[in-house]
Amino acid sequence: MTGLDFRPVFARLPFLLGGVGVTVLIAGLAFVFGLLLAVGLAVVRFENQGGWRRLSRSYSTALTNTPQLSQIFAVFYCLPLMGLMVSPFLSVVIGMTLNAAAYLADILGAGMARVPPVYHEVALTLGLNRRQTYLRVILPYAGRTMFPALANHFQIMILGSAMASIFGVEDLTGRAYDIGSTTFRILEVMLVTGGLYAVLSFALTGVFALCRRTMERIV
Amino acid sequence: MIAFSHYDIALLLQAMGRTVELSLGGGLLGIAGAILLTALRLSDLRYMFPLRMLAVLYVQTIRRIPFIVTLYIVFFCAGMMGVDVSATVVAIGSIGLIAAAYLCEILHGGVKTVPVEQVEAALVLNLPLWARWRYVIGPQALSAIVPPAVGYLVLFIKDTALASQIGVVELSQAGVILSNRGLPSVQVFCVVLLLYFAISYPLTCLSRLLEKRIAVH
Amino acid sequence: MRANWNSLLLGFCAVSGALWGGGAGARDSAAIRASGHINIGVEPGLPPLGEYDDHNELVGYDVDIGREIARGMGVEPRFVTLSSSGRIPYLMAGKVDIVLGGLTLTPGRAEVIAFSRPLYSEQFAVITPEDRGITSFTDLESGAHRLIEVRGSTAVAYLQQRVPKAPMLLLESYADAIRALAQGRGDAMVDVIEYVGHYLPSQPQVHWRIIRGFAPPVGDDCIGMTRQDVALRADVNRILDAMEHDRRLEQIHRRWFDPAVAERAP
Repeated sequence: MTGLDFRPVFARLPFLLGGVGVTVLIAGLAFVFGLLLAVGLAVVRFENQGGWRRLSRSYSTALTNTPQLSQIFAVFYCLPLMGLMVSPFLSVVIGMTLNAAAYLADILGAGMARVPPVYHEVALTLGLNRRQTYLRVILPYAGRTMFPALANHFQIMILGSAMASIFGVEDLTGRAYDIGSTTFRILEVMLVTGGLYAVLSFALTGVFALCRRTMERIV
Repeated sequence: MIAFSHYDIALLLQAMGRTVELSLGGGLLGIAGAILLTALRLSDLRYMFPLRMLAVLYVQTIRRIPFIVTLYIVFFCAGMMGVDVSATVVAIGSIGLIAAAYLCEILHGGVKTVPVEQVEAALVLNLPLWARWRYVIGPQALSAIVPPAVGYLVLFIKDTALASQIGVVELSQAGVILSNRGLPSVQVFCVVLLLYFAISYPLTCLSRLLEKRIAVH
Repeated sequence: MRANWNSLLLGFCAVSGALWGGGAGARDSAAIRASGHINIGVEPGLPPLGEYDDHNELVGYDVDIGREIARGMGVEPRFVTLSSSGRIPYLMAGKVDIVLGGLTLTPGRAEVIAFSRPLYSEQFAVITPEDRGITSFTDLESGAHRLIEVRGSTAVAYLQQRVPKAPMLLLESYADAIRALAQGRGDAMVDVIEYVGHYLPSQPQVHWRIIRGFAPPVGDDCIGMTRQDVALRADVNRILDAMEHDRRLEQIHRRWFDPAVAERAP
């Protein structure tokens, strides 16, 4: 053994960096679809209709109390048994979407509960129907107040998307492991990869701070 | 239902025990580490400055690296430094590392919620250090610390699933072994998910209960 | 303050020194004997080499060989489970003293690790569900068929060279690969049939076609060790020679690679 040698890793840096795009794509897709699903779940909860509400709550409880890895495994192995042939990439995105929806619904729900009653009254006075009230008043308000929590969850999803590597997806971690298994320099490649994730995460923090400031200026 | 042999069930239960061991060990290690890190961050001794900066850097950075990457790094680092430890110990250590960072944020934030005037008043009263913490800062900070901390412990239980990737036979790995043994995937994964739920849900309830209790006060 | 910086710096130097100086990870045969145990890397998802049997015990060809090596050195065997892609990294990081798991001797690997004398030789075959219409290895050249392979296996490099156009999905284990093949995530797999064959009966609904004879024997399967440890290599080779002499090597091979067992694969 000759100690640490980063050269083989740096020689493959472009390939590794390409994985950053895949990582962001996985987390981004799962976040967007998860958010759409979460809006539905949160609205159901907010409308307070006995059985449906309990179902929506149970969904979040079930998925936030089990590991995302096992959930993706379940999607990966069980969907094909139901006749749905999906690629590993899609399996991971679906698994992460279902998982994200559970957390995001909790976040949105908390945000909707904080909408001041006067907003509802104003919406009523303006003659907005239910759909308009949600789209123009409640959801924007909830989204804005919960922006830090939503942004934070996106960061968590970026980290969580590393699990995609276990299913053969060539994301940042998957590519790192590929490089590790061909150059045998796994510690070196993992150190570089950890650094890349940290840089990505700090950059996203900056982007979100900028978004937030812009949002506050507009509103 | 399925024909789980009694060895299959034994494997699942053993693996569940391993998951609990990882969560508990990692959680306790994390609490110890978090107290140490928070003490560092709160200390106002001048010569501690570099260590304080390191603590902040550590807390800020490790939370931005996927757990699976941290796990690999610790695993291979331990090996290269000649430390001959089992994968289970590596996994507990890695969970401890990230748990320390997350819990430190909560601890640090919790202590900061105590109004400065109160700490100053305690100083004026000439209370010794332990009494300041025992009677003034501790009880108030605890209410801001305990519920989210318990919530985070649930998060670490779920992170233990990744220990399968360095060869620890924990709950999710047991599911893969059973599935490879030819048992039907759907049932196996349902059982695995249910067992995780059985470990994690009571803690979630506890966290919620504590939150309500404290809100009442 | 300066004293603190210094001690901090010293700490860093110690850590990075231990990493850089290397060698600290790998134990030589004297250290192994002194510790009373040897860490043996085996793959638990690779029957007949290694698997968890119905009684949850780790069993297989590699486990038996590992036990014999440990016995020959007079130490207790400790098995460390790993995946194909982890075999050499684990060895280089000192997580294992010797590694099995169907480790084929290749020139690339021989540059970084040392190999024992061969245990047996292996040959590639194409494994494909009959309905995919693949009848020969040359069918894969067009790139119309997606291959499913195990990450870190020798087949990957072989295929990238022989059928560069064929798209490839890399998975972590043979079980995953065969399941993915049965589920239609890919069309064919090229690997050593003795390893893959054990998984085929787990997908009874699929009619498997196995195409052999397109490749020369891929190579010899050996035990891997670190390069600088000459004494350990001598020990292992001495034990293997003795095992060949008193036919234990052959017995273990027959127990796990018996044609009757392999016949289970259609």
